[in-house]
Amino acid sequence: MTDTWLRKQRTLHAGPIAVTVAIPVEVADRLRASMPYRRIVEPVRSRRSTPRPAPAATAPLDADGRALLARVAEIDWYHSIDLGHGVVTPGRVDHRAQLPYYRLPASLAGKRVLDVGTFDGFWAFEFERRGAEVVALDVATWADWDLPQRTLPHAADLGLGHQMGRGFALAHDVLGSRVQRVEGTIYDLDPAVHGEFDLVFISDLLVHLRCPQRALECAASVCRGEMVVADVFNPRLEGLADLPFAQYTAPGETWWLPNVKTLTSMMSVAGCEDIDEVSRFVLDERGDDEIHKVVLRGRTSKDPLWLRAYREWSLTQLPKWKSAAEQPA
Amino acid sequence: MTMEGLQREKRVNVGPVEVTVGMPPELADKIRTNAVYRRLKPTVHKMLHRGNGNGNGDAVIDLEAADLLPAVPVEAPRPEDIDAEGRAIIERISGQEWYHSIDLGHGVITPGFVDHRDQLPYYALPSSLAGLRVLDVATFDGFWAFEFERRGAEVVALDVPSWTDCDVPRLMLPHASAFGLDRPTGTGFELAHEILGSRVERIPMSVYDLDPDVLGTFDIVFISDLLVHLRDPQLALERAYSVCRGEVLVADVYTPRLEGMGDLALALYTAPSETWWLPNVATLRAMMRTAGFESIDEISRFALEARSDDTIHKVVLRGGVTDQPDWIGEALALKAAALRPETAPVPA
Repeated sequence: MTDTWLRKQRTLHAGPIAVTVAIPVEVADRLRASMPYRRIVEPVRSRRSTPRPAPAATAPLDADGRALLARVAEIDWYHSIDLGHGVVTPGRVDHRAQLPYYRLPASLAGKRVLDVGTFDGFWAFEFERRGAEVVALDVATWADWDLPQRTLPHAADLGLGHQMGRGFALAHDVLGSRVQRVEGTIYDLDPAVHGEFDLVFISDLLVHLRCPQRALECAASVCRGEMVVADVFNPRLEGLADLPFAQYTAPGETWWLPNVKTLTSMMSVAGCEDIDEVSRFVLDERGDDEIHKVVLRGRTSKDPLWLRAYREWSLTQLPKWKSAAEQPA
Repeated sequence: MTMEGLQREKRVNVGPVEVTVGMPPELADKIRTNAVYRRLKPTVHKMLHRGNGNGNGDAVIDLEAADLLPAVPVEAPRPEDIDAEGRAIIERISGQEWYHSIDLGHGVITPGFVDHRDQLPYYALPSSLAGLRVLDVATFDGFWAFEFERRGAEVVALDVPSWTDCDVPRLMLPHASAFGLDRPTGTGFELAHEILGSRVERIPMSVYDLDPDVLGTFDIVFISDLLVHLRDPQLALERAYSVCRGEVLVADVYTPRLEGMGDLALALYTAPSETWWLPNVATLRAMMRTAGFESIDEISRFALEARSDDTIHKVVLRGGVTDQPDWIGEALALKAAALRPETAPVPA
């Protein structure tokens, strides 16, 4: 018999009686992969309500459009960005139709916004369009990502040596953007260097980090307002016990696949309070796997409730340590 | 609707499916006092609890691998057996708060939070470590460092320079004194080191700063009860790998609640508290593998002997080093196969 704790569970209420049926994760996975489930249950439960935007009628491009297309063709794009002249970059992810899931304010005028891990800059340009002063942070090369240290000697062979930011530079230029791109990792964030921000935005990043907790703490250190964490979660770990836990997935392209409770707990430890879940959805992406995202929003505090409570508890323990240390030897 | 937490629950396993029925206590009491229920209860109880042997916490030990030294006596000595020198030692160590139970000789054993002495066989240490260079990461009062020295090794013992160098949430640091973090580390170690006449070299350094150019490399890198207290246990293992030329022993805490899940590597996030991640054993193995260790063996599982209300479950894993882990070879092959022209842009 396996441990009976980690199970998918569903509770039905019948008057005062609650019946909870729990099945092991493997069995749940098998069930989900079965034909009846996929044919009947899934279509009904599907929440993928936002369709991709219908591709615009392929009007013949003008001369500017054709010249732009030639420049765009030289780059491997991560973000789909509308560059005007009828050209949209062929990104691996397309956030455009999924913007409503983020519930961004229509106007960010007068706000200072940090886009962490900007890549081709989709979010940075979007915040700028909404009136914000935007700083976009990204690593200088692929090798500056959190990679297992054992892979670093092979960085060149693994294609990790090349510079980041070509797509960003092109889009920045074409869009006439004034977003400031800063090189560095999320771990380098420092209020003395980068200043403070009204909104710190982290999207599809934590899952690629070896230490998402430290990343969130560094991000919180430059946040004087709100932090939005729109990151990947693991639906296999949802609907189990109401506890934070994560799947460790390295070595691979990701490190930790957390459940939502882990993400909120991590944000809380970093100093976020009043954390709201804004939405959950499946990322619009050119890939075989379904990437499940959750958007969480919280206000940062330097002295959150848990810290005050922990301090109070600690002070009751302290006399013990002090007296032990002060006893004459 | 009833309130959560005010429910009586009964759980039944039917094959792999678990059904939990919860109801308000009043209702449960009504049922319990019902004559039919009382008549049926013994039979049902017998059915439910048949063959429910839960093996968690049972030690599994490869006794052949354990090459044992004569055991250290673990019973407390009787006061009348302690000589004058012993009494002098007691006097010297009495102001110290101890993490490790260490036998200082003359019948004096430090009153540690954990006592590894009679659990040594679980680690399957060679009786002789003569000629080997051993690193004890996060040595605290030095129990393991002194034990390796006793077995003939040249030992370097690492520990954080100050308590504030422990991984605590950043927001706690401005309140270091409220959390008692403004204490020096190593006071217990220094006392034991002096009393034992040890030659172990203690280096104040975080595991994250391990660097072969600074400390050289080691035949055995020993990590015990540490990873659970780290925000970034993976980086710690990667740094440990960088100074390891032989073997690593990872004897750390795992949570049995996440066992029995096949190969699924899972970890419970437990901050803010004294721990960060409580992994299952599959996670510890995957982390070691990612760090570059190979041929990972499980030596034992047991419950740590500690003065704690909770049972602390430990696993001892041993790994070797390799020039190129298999997963890097796979990644390189994949990359070579994927070197194709990049996708062409499409006009919108």
